Amino acid sequence: MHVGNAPGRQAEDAACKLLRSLGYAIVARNWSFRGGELDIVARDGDTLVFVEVKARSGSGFGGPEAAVSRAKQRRLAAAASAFMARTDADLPARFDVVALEGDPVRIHRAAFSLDDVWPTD
Amino acid sequence: MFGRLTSGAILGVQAQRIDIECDVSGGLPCFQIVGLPDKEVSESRERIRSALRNAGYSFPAGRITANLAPADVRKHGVAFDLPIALAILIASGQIPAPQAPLLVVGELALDGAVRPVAGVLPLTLQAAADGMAGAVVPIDNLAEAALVPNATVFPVASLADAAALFRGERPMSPAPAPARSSGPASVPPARDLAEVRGQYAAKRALEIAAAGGHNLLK
Repeated sequence: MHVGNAPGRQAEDAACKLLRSLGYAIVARNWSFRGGELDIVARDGDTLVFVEVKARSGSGFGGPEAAVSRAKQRRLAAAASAFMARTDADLPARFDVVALEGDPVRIHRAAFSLDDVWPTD
Repeated sequence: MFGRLTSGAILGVQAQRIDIECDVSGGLPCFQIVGLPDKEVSESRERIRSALRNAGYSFPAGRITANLAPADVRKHGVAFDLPIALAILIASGQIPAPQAPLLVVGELALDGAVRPVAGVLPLTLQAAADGMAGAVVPIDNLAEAALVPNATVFPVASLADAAALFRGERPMSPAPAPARSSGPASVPPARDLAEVRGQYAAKRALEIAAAGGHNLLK
């Protein structure tokens, strides 16, 4: 979602609102690194949270969550890794997915982990 | 943050003490089990993740490494589910470390229930021989563990049950040994293998299978 993508921008605004209401502090938005982009970076207490925002108008192709494929997870993980390297954050981190598909908005905490993305066995 | 617990594995008919170390640190979320785990031990990650959440604990964010020592012994089976889950809870400060050394074994269901495992008898014997304060075993294995004289046994039905024990919410007193059923005496006497003439290889195979509790018909 590049800047100027109005529906995407709107979805991210809505997601930020939700996150703030849940007590997250927004650290960065649309942080991109070599083709990978982090929609929202936030702090939830002592945890750094990388949030992927997915909006979809119809549910014909599975929910918005289905759009966060393994390949997408790899790109997010690579970008998150770069973010952590730059900001020197030694915090525990997790990946959340916010799914906007009408009401209610759904949030999936700890939606995936690096051992899912790069299985070692 | 670090947590340590003791568990055990069966090698042949012998119990081997396995130390479980768990480290929870910052970084991207990743849960790894190292120390020569087999496939079924690696798969325990998914059971542990679900069991922790469904039992009302949080699965810590960040990097989690569980090490099964000694690292040169291949680990298989599902008995490490419960001790690894408890070591994660200790390492993330959700429960205190046990005050006395305990041996812990048990398989976890996704809802946090503890399922029975194989080899509880030799493991409990080993724990008693090592002078450990007690053995935390699945409740369905209690009868087996209670066969060990002078062993202190803590039967648990769920992860929450075991956590309560560590938090001292449950008295650290052992479960009373269940009344022994008449056991083998009630089984009608079987035909003796010694009555079979010849067939040395087949008889040896039967004896080895019986000693190890393996299936023959599969």
